Amino acid sequence: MINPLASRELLTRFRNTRSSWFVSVWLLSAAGIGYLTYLAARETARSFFQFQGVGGGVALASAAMGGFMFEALAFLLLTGILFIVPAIAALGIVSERERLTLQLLQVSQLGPVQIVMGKLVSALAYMLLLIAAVAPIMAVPLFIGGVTLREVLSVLGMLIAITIMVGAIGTWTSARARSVRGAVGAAYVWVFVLVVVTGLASIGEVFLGQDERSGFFPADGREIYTLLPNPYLALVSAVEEPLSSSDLQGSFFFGPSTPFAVVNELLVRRQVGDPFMFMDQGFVAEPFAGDAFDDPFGQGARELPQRRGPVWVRSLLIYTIVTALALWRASVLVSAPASGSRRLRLPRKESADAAA
Amino acid sequence: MIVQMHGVEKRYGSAVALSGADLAVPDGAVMGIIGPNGAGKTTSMLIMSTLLSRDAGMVSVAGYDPATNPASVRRILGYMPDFFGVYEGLNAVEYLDFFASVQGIRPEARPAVVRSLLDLVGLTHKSSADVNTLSRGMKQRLSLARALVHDPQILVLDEPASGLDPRARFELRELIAELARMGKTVVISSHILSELQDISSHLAVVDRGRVMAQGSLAEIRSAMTSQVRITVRTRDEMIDEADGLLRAEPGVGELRTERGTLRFVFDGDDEASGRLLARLVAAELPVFEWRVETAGLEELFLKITEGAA
Repeated sequence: MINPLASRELLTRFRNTRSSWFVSVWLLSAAGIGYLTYLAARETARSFFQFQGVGGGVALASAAMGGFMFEALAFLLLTGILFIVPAIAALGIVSERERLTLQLLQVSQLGPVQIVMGKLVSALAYMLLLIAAVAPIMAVPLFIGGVTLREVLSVLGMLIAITIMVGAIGTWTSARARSVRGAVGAAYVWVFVLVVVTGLASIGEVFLGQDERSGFFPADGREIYTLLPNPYLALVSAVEEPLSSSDLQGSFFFGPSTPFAVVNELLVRRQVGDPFMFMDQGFVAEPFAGDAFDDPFGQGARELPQRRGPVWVRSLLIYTIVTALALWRASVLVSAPASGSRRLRLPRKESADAAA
Repeated sequence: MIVQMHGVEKRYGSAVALSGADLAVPDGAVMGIIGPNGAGKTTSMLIMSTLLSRDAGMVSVAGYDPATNPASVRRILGYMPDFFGVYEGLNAVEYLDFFASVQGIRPEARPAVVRSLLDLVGLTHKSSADVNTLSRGMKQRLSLARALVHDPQILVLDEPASGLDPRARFELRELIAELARMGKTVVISSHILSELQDISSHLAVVDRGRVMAQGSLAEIRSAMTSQVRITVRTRDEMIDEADGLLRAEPGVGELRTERGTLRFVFDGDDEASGRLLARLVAAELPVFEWRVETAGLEELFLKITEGAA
């Protein structure tokens, strides 16, 4: 049975003309960006192959272009998700509170989990519609070449996982907050933590974990834990392994994901050399990975460290835990009766009345 | 008793909302809860409606504890807060249909339920109107329909008449009277004392977190005061004689005369006032009118809550 809260939300949301306008603008933007990335990829591929003097032929250039386009679209879509989902999800419960309908739901036969899931599903359904709408554009690189169907599906799967996690965080901040502004602000703070703070923290962790004597990182073979929740890294990781083994190995192509691809490799390996000495690693291709990581200083004699499993598995595990915790806390916050320590959460103007 | 509260305490931080409140609502009664602002009316209603937990005491709604068995209480209780929760873009039918769905009513049964409720609250002609465009009185009636959507045995109405114009108030009062006739138990709070006096079979006066008095209006009246106001009309030229006679009677006070009419407060029961009338008649004073008025709800309320801030 469909959650009544979700079906009501979807009914009113899609009846709204703003939604149809937004979806249209979203699609036009995605198509425009797709075309621009195609142009950028074409120019980059042309200049690169001229510079390299590879003369690898049309097939190689086309594959590199397809990869670049796919990579750029995936990153843009993820960025869009990280901007849109917190706002949509964070509106869910707090807007019920502001329009004074939350109490009406709390005294209904809906349990707190159903209320939270109804709000999450309605927020995600909208975002998943937007993702599904751009899926055909994401698939264009399939026809250009350099990207496999498995990679497209991997990216879409990871985007959905990230959407669910960010939606759950937004729902939790929404359940905590007394105002829409507070809920949305808090949701963006958490996204900032996921994207920026994890990146900054990982730099610190790298420095702290570096072996002073040998310069190798990490000294004891441990992971860079702080970066595992980073959505961009998770996205790169989702396609890095298949790409590494693709026919394009040996090519060199710099894209938006390159820094994350480097870090991804860093996290997969148990021990590497100076983390700032890596050659550029492409999302599309992993050209000098073997040389750069296995023998960074040309020492040749160092024993190869054992590789870990792909990063995305650990990222997904973290996302699952974060999602479950956020939804659990949100359910506790909307459950009634509110306990003595947890006062009835009403909009500020209602709080005084409730005490009466 | 279908609703019982015993020794209920509730604090909001350092502020005491309920301090040992006792309340008993008989099955089928229309229980009016009156009290000044901050007395604990809304807190009591939130607790019995499963929205708020108590710090101490016992609460039972049809035998269920709202704190430990909220789902059972919600099945038999309809709650109407003192505000109207609006969803944008829904008409009256869709609004009620949504609340019927969250109350677990099967999809095939909902249209009939919604139709009958709109008919009950007199909003059939507004079925397709956006709920945002309804007048305040209509919204209150729709809100009442929403509280009734799962056919609850008990209705908890928090200040339903606040902000309504006289016409809307009258319609709401009629509606509540109709619900009482249907056998629903209604717990209703209001600041408009005359409204409660007209529709309540029972009353509870709440003040400073305690229920100061409760029972039927007659019970409260007899518990609080035995005084009545009596108005006597006689011939103008005999007013002095009547005045002298009444002043000599025990229990008569605050006597005022005014062109053939005497008004006074009499402390005594029905038999004593009857004997007083007999004395006037025996003195051959023509009595054109003998009107005994018991204390009004407002008067009782002020007396009960005397000394409140």
